[in-house]
Amino acid sequence: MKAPLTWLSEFIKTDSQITASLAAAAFTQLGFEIEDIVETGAGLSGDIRIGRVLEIEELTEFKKPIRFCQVQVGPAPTDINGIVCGASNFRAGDLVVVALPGSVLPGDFSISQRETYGKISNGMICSLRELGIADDHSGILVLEDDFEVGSDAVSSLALKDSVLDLAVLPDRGYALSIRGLARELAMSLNAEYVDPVSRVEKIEEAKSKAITAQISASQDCTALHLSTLDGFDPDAVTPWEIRRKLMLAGMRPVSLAVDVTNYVMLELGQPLHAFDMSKVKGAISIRYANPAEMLETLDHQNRMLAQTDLVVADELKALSLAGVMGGVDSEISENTKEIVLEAAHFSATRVAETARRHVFSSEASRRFERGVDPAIAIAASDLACQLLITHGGAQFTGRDSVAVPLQQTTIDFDFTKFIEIAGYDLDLQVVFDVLQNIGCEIDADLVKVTVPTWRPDLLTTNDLAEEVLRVTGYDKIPSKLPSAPAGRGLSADQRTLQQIRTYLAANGLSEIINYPFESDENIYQFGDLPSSELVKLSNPLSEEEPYLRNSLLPGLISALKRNFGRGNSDIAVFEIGKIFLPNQGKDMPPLDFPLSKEKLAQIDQVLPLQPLMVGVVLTGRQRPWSPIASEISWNWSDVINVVGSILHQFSVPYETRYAEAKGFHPGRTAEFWSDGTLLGIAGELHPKLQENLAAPNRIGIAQLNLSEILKLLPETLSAVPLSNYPIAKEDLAVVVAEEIPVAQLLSCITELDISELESFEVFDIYRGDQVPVGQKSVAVALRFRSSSHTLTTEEITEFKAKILQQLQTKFGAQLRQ
Amino acid sequence: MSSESNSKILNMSHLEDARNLAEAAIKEASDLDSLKSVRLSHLGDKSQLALANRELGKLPAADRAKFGAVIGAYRSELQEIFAAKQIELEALRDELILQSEKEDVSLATLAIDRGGIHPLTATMNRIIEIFTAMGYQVDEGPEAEAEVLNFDALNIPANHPARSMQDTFYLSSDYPGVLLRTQTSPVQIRSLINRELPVYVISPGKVFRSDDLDQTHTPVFHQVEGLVVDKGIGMAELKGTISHFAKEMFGSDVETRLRPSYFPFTEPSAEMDVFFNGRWVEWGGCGVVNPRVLAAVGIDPTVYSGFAFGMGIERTLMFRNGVTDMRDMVEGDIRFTKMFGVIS
Repeated sequence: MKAPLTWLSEFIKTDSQITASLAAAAFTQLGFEIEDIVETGAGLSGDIRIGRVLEIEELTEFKKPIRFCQVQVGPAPTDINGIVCGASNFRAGDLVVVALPGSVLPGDFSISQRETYGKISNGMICSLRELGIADDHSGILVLEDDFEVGSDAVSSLALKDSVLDLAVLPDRGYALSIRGLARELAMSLNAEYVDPVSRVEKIEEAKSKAITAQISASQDCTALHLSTLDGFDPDAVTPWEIRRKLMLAGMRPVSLAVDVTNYVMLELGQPLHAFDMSKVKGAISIRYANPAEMLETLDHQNRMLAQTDLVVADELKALSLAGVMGGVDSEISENTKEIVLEAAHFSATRVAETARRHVFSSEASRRFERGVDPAIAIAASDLACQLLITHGGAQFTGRDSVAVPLQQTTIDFDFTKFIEIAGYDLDLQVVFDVLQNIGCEIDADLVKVTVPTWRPDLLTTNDLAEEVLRVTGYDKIPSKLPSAPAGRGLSADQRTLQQIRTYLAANGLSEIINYPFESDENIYQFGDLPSSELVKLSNPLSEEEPYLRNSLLPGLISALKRNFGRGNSDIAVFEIGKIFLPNQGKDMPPLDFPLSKEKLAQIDQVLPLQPLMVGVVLTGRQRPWSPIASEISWNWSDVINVVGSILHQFSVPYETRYAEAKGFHPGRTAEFWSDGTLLGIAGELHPKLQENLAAPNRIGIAQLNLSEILKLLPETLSAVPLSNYPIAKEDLAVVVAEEIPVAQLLSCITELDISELESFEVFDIYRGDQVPVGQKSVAVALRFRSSSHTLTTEEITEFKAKILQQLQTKFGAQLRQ
Repeated sequence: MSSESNSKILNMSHLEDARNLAEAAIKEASDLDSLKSVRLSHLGDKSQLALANRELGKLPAADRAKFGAVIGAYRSELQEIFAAKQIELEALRDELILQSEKEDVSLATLAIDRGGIHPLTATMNRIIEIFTAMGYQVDEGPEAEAEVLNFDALNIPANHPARSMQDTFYLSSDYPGVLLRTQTSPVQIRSLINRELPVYVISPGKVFRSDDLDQTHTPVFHQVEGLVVDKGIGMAELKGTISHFAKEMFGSDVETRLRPSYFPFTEPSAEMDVFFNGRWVEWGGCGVVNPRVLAAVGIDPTVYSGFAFGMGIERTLMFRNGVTDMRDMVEGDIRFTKMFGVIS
């Protein structure tokens, strides 16, 4: 809201000067952020006067029309200057603003006597832009006949002003008016406030009504006042002061009828609409739109209305979208002589919904959405009629009103609660004063606070407390630390996630955070899912990426691509994030409060599944060159290793299996399983995809389901006493078929559960002359130790035999001779 | 003949010469190899003292004892000298080996490549640490969230202007009433439903608003919200908590201030600013929990009250760590994370 300081000051009685900086400081403290302060006319200096154009000589010999004007610039008959002017929107006899030689206009534009177009020009006739008031440069400024020729234009036109551009929070609809802002400023400055409503002269009711008002949508419209005027002069000029205020407030003057409605809206906060009465047939009613009803609005859009849209209609059709925008057909034109002025009160939610549906926010809808004073419609109507009568020569012909009696909100006065919310001992008198200053009434028994009609946002003690605190200053609130109950720190899952991140970072991987938005193309690199298996956005940022990721892998590839594009081909990154998978697709349970655990469970059943995943991509060099440690490149096994070691570190039991998955190298990819649950996949990116990326090296890529892994974390590990009996080291080499994965041999040994087998590991795999073709020899180093005695040779032989036996039975393994 | 030769070897001055020669030879040995040959020639079976010892039997008993004692004394003296020399030369040898193994140790560090935790995560972890130390718990919620929890339960009814303050990603018609949460506040609702009172929680996480990515906007960003619901909680407790938080994050001398603001889920509401690097910076929003929010989850607002606060982590990172372009945080450029390592 742009508020000229002169306009605000009209309603504040004070002896001291209200400066822009004083006002800005006051508004800031009250919760209105100052977005800008514009000093209009700041660049004006020297002799700038009101002048009257006496004669116009048209100079036609130039490319564009040029006028040489005789302009009276002073009271004496001889004070006449010849001035060359390129505009032609004025007539002889008009009052204009003349910058005399020696004066300076904004932008350090010095005016001097000069010869131009073959004439001596003694000054300049100014446009609004040249005066620094508005952007209008379509012609020079023509004034109504109310100013003295030769008087100082800067003071008589109030060209110097300060305009505060205030950010108004959405709950403070009252502050979208000079009325509301002046009340705040007066309160903050401890000055007397004059409600502009109190200055409005009441219209004497005409005996007959010229038009009938009806409300058929009483849910969403509580008041409708239709005033009619005739004999309006369509050529009437809007007085300068109204135009000035409109322009400083950021609105463009259009015509008297329109300017008056805007002016009243800015001053009082009540949106008004003027119709050309000759275009209206019969009674005017507020109703919901009919099915498939159309309306061409003032922006020349032909809009299909919804049946929840509220319209102002005559007997035939909708005239305007109530509280949002007028219609073209009933618009005030340059011929309008009879006017219907609508002042109504529409519900905030209805206007908001309509404005949103039609993607249109107007000055009117902004105000209705944030709450207009429901008691003010008549006063606004009166003021507008008075202005149309005074400046447009109109006569008031009648008014018809339909209005629901006002319900004023009352709030129990709870001083204890005030103190609890504030956190310190507020003074009762201060609380009183603030509440009264904002317009509340408190009854004599201190039981009830009656909220003013212009503050529909005040509904609870908390709302009142905010008022008291913001007016007295948030800086008065002391600092206290509440004491929380003894904490339990992070949950096991949260702790584990932090540890996994640290673990991966310590292994040289860097965390990245990708967007979850994906395209078909990216997703299909790793799966041929039908789109019904994907979770889709209805309003994606980009039409190419309408899906929520069902895997971290496509995002990792995109990140890889960006890094390659920036000249970096050595990449080791991980991401921990949620993916989105379809749920059974039930309907959201009906909304009712209070919410409960059961309700929450119902909601969660409808939401897409959102497991937490960890993804890894490795390619290029593992580390920089050094003469000592030779440079090593990431290969297919590293990626399996990295994610496998996460499971290892956190003691999650798992086994690996060959995986065949789209996007992966068919022979270099492993799945991780635990007790029938698939935990994830790791392996080499399919060389075809690598080629698509123009990647110089093979790429390792992996993804694990952390949500599943976290379920498998052991709660507490039990220690086993460390035995100090001697270790017995034995090697066992067996020959098995090539296709048997080594890890399976090892898990087969684990399954035997020989408690004396402390550890074992593969130390050699041999293929060659000494073993048959299609077979390999796997050598395992076994370490036996007993917790109770020194093992005997017989015992050790027996263990070895047991292991060999098991490998023979399961895999047909032969002892290598 | 034999007595002559005996007398020649078993001669006191000869023995003394042999001893002195041996000692000199030992002392002259410069390495273990030469020491070894000294041992063979001067202390071995064929050394003068060994030969003399072998001749002792030929002497008369009285001489035998006298010469025997001298030879024995010389031999044990020489053994000691030899042993000392051996230790000395072994130490020298070891020293030379170590010297020969010297490397340019600085080369080893060339092969270090560091990974890192994304600074957004690290910053959130730091915040979590501050609050868990104060006794708070950490709650997280789904990113695709029910509209009811993201808006309605937070006192943002349909058509409330606050809903148009933020552009929301809605899921397709397969998921009516589901959106990508625009704030971490729905987690507050979940915490209040799932937890016993009093509640002291912090909820970090991703939030979504349909802004295009540019230097200062990103459609996906991170927030941390705090929520306290207990008896007797008001603006003063909020102010104290925020001020402690800010000091932990930005330094013990940092100032905070509150300015009136509006959020549907808090009343009174405030913007919080911190005075950092010589200027006031807008950090986040906060306020006393609106009683309607408490009522929406079945908590009696006449008994309990609370406060909530929240801030953007990207924004925090921008002014705290001097990140000037939001795009650097979200584009997955490995250089960005590496810059920070694991520091928060």
